[in-house]
Amino acid sequence: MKTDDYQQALFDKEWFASSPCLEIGNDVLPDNIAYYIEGDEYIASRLKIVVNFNNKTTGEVTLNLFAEIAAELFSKALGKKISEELHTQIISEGPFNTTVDNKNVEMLKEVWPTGLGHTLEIIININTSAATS
Amino acid sequence: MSEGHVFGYEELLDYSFAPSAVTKAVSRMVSKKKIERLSNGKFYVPRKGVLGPLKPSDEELIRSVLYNRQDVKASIEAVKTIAAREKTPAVIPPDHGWSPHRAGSF
Repeated sequence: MKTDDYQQALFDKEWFASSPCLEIGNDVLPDNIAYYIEGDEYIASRLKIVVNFNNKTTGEVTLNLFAEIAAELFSKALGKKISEELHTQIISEGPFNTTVDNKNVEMLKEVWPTGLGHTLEIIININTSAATS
Repeated sequence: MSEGHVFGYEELLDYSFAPSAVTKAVSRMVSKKKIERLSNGKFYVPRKGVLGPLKPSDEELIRSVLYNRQDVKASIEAVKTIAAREKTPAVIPPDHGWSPHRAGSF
């Protein structure tokens, strides 16, 4: 997934870029996946993909696509193939937090209070203690 | 926001409360073509023309420039800086992170 321009948030030191939402299905409120990068002016230190599940009918397709995008991000950001174990955890939507080559890889799940859907986030960020040592 | 009006973040009511969220929301609206980016930090709602969307009128463009000429100059400099940086992205040590230019295309 490709982001728009990397830019500074006004009145904030953080720089960021986000991709257009990739929408899955033709529902009024479709499932969607987006990619974000965050950091400072010169270095992106946090990569994130977020999926919003809005429809049960497209949920399985969306989850498989999300896992595929996660594997691609993992490969490009960390320079290695995603492990079978992590792939399984993504497919099972299980939250996890692990370290790969001094980078934190975390998956969060938030079930919406409305009960009408949920969000998954995979975040790869720099282990700050390693970066400053 | 009326069609053809050029505006900046500061004109959006929620901006003073949640600048980061508003900036991201505006960026998303640009992606969805609901608004267009005129320059760094300046946007407009396209006017509907017979042959498609229209840019703001000359009067509106002049108004926005006269209103904040310094912003325009700063924007041009910022674009030049970013263009130069993207032409030769810095090599980032793996433990420190990723080049934003490269990470944007992961």
